[in-house]
Amino acid sequence: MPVFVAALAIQTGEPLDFSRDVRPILARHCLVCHGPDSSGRKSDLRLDDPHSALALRDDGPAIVAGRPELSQLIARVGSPDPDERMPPDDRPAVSAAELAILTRWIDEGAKYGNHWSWEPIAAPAVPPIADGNWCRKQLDAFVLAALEKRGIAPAEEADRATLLRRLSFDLIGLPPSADEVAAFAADTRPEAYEEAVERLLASEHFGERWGRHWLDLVRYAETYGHEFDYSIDHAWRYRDYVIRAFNTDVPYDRLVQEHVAGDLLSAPRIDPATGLDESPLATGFWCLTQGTHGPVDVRQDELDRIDNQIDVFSRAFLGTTMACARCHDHKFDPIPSSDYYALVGTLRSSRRHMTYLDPGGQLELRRAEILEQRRQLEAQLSLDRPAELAAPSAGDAAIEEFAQAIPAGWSTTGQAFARSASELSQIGRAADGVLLKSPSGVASSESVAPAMQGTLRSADFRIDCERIVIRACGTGCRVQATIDGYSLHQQNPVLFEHVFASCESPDTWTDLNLDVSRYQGEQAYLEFIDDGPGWIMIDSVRRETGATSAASATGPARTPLVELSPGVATDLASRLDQVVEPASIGAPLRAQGLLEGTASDEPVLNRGNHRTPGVTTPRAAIASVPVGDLPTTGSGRLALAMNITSSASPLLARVMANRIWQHLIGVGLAATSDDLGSMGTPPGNPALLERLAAEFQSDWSVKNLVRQIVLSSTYRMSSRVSDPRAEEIDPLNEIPHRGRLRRLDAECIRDAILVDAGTLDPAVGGPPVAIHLTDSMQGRGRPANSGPLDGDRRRSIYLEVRRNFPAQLLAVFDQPIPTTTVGRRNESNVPAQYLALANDPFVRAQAAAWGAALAGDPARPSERVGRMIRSALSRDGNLNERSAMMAVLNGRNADPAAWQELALALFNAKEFVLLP
Amino acid sequence: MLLSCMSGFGAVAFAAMARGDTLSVLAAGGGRTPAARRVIFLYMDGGPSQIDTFDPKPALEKWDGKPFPLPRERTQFNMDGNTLASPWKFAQHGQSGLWVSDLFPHVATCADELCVVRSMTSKFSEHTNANYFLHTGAGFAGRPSMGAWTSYGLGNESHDLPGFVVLNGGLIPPGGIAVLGNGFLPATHQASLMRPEGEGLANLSPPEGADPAADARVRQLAAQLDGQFLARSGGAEAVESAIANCELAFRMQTAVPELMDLVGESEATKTAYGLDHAYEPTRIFARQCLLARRLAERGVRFIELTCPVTAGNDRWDQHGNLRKGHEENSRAVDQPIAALLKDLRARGMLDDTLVVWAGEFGRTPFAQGTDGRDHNPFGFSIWMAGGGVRGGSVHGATDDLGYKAVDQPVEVHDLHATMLHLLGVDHTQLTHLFGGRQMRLTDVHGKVQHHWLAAS
Repeated sequence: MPVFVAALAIQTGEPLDFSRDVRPILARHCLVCHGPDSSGRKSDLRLDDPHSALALRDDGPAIVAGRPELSQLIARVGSPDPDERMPPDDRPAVSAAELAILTRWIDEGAKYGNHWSWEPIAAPAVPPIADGNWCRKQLDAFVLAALEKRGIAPAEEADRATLLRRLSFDLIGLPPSADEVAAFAADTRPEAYEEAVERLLASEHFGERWGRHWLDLVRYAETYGHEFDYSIDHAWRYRDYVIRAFNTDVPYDRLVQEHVAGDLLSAPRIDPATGLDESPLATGFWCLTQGTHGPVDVRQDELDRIDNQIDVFSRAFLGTTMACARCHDHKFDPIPSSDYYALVGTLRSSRRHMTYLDPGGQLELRRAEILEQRRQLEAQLSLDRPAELAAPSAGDAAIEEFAQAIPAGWSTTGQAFARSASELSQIGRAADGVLLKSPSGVASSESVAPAMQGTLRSADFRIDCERIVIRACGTGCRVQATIDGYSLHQQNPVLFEHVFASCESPDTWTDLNLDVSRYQGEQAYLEFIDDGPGWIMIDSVRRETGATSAASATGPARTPLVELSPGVATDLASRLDQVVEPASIGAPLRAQGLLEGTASDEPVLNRGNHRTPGVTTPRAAIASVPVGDLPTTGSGRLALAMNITSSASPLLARVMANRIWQHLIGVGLAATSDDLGSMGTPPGNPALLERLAAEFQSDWSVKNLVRQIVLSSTYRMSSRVSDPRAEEIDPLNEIPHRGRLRRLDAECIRDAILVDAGTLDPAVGGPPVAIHLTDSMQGRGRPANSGPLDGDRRRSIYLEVRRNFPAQLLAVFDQPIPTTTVGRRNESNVPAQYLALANDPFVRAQAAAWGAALAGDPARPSERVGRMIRSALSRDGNLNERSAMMAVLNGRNADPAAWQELALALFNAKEFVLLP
Repeated sequence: MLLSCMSGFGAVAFAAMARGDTLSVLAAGGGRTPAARRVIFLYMDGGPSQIDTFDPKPALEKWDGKPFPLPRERTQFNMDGNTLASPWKFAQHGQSGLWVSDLFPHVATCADELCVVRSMTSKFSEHTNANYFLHTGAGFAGRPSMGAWTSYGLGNESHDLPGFVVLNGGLIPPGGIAVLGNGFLPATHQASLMRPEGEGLANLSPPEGADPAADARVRQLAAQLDGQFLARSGGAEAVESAIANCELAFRMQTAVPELMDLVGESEATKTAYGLDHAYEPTRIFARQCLLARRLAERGVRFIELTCPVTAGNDRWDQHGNLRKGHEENSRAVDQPIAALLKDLRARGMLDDTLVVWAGEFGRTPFAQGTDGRDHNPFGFSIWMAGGGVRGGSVHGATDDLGYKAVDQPVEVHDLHATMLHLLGVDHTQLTHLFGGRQMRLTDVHGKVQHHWLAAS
């Protein structure tokens, strides 16, 4: 809370800092009416802007630097007269302590400054300290200096067993094994700790732990929620991408660039194990929104989804709450609505897409081979282009014709479609094996091989007709209109059957009709989807209104090659079959992702309402938050990616360094880790955050920063409260002066149970394990079948994340329902947690598994008891604990039920879930 | 002491302060004595039709079967048919002369308790958005449900039951449990989902076949370990409150079965609620209503009831087969609701218990197809009873055909603001900092509807 922070400053006699000490008070009490949002501003006074605040007004300036007694701000806030007093009664009142701060700040000269988190990173010098022995890392000096200034000493170091447990959960999310505990206890060399750090940093479980933190930021889910909780297909590919990225310590700036525009980066990032270009996978995070079932107002629905994308983008990467600027300029931070709609423009110019991935470029290679072989076959025929099959012109009504195979503004992904007229084949095969002449002047996926997969997309167009009629032929393919980015047609055939169609006409042209009459004036594009084994040729796309025109679409699309002798034809046909043999063609990997659409700028929407558009704002150009200044191309995502990761942007490093600190220490240096704006909590130890941000920005290595912190003396402090004076001076432990007792995250609790029971399957990655359904998990979209109770004994990160059917044991321990960025989870303490640990069938079953293993263990009972405690609590039990357990065992040394009791008691020990 | 402290607002505020969050101080009604101490929310999932229940429209008879004469908004299914008059008759009831249709003969006998609002509106035509909106004040998942806000704002009066209980008749609303979630509020305030049968709460007791003596040994051993841990941690507050909540969990294992056990209820009471009704959904909802009263007696702050399944109908969502669906749904809830109101009145509890009956939207006065009605968020009826509202009163009006609210239109935010007001809470002061904003149940909207309130 600001008051405490200011108290820290007052304690040390430092001058007040506007951004840290004063701006939060103004934001809380004044800026709604006297802040950046011009629409709601009263008396034309802006207290966050010195030009306005210091200006002479009728009743005198609001602020006179150095003269609080002449400043109307102080007079009005301190006024005993309720009619005079500011803020008005319906706003939170300014406390005496806050008034004292405002007064002192004016007294000190009313120095304004930019908001602290928007200032360039300062990289402060290491401060002088008295007790050099305590510091192991530079960051310790920043902590110690702040403590010494206040005359308090750091807490003693935690005992080694506590440290190993803390370190293991923090780095890999799993407890140390009983053997590791014993080995660490025996190894008293000073390097033992450092070696443990390196071992854990190198563990493939590191990415699972830190990836899970990341998934909270991007509201990772595998279903869309809403009414039917439809699946977000292949979402787990993104989850595995995240795990790999943290394991391989991808530089953080690159990680963010890949998230924003991984499909557009010029240099691929190849996974050496699979040959896969990782970069486009990251854009899947944009697609993890909720998805409305059958929106009546499709445009509004799109804007709501984009709002969520902007909220996640701005808070996860920049610690900035841009979504606050949807309906009006930001009330507290100088973010105008035009910045918000700059991002809307970028996102409306991008498209969601089920990406085709081609690890190692194998499919592209195969595609080139096929095209080359087909050319050789065709060369033997010396066929003329079959002009008689060219399409009749569709005239004015045409949206597109296909003289060049891919019209301007259209695009294709995957391998199925011909990418230019020269790639169009001249011969194809009918179902009965006859060799056919293929037409020119079409877009076609017949030209490579039926097994190849791909999608062809149109440019954006505005709907101004009742129907879109597509003259096509083919089989096993479909076309759909995506309207205002809405793309749940397949899951919603009842409500959307009219905007998609299947093409099943391999011999003759047919008209595919899409009824778009409901969507007049909306933005749309067409997608022709060939996900193998079929093919499609598109001759024309027309708009129609009123009466249906006579079918333009009769007649064969391809004609037999009559001029060939039967022997030659048969030979050619069989050679063509060999060329396109399906077994020789692999399937692409599919993943959620983004693509460039048709670039356009968006208007600012008055009060966020799409029916009241205002002035158009250039896409991707953020004016307020400090970022780089690369110019916009295409949708603007690439420029955005580069600009927010440029050295001109201090936010990226600050926000992430603060998050890393939070995950290791328990709370960020700035506690509101998703909001470093003026409604957020300023850092209690600002110099330390600056130092960490500067170090992080120098190499963007998450692992290096984690290493710095866990090797520090600060990290190793005991959480025990030992000095009442320190608690008084640093009540929120912000400097910090001791460690922080934390509750384990939901996933750590479940995973630790599996580790102790000896049942954990440590496999990394792969499709999710279906969620286990209980009787209380009811409602629409409930999966037909329950997943296994034990989740196949996989780590919790691999349990399916169904928005409407969250894993109960994880939800009760605060795993968030993924709706938006949650950088800091709640750490609640509720009875349902203890009911779950005591009675949940999963916990009981794992206790039984552990009990059965122990009952059959030949070691002496007391040894087994000792190992149980080491496994569950990562330390040697004391005499009391061991004898209490032996008493429960009561000689039942080979009875699994007896050992199960001990196991269950350990799972229910508070020490099992609380990390001192 | 610790328990009552930790489950109330004081504890929340303290915990939030200790975490460094900013939290507005809750001005509890500005010194006003709250009219209501608790809420029973009867959630009519699917959207009951206003013109077939509490909003009679004689003009519909004239237009019945003819093209609908007013301009129409786009509907969910766009299969709009002709005007469809109500198949049910309306009559006036009680001293107030309140109009109620034949669908609710029992509720009609409580007419003088009802405060009917005929001009409610929603912003969404889709169930899920409208459900989130009705419950959380926003159309997408992620915000806290009104029960969570109430628990957060007022704390819990019960020492052995949670503050926000949902009695699940069988239908989890579209949108899933996020409709009833705590959003960004601490998990203490999330809904505890109870079934009206069996042991009610998930994981309340050990699985079948567990040996009670063994469980007692487990509990005792864990307690011994906890004692050691507490000492070693130097009496850390987090350890202490974890132990306290664990003890509360154990007490719940007694309190919930005691709650569920209806042995002490008289036969007359059980019959009045409909526990012996011939229709099974009525029996289920009867049990829910009776349990709601028992939860209210035990100090639970916010009790929400979801509907039971009626065979062949999709909740109150009658896109077709209006007559069968609405008849069976009303049959399930009518008698139990009337009994609940009368029982609360008889026990002197209705005055400080706010009962709210509402769906997420209403239905169109024109047909979908021939015998159904599509979603209609533009004007629909809800009612309240007890808890400081004016009984026997009607507020607002839809147009002559019952399509859109035209007189005193109100929105869900206004309902929330008024509910909180009745609970003694200023809806603009009940806030929680999240995502850079002081979030409210009423967002930036909401006007207390003083004319709905009883004169005090």
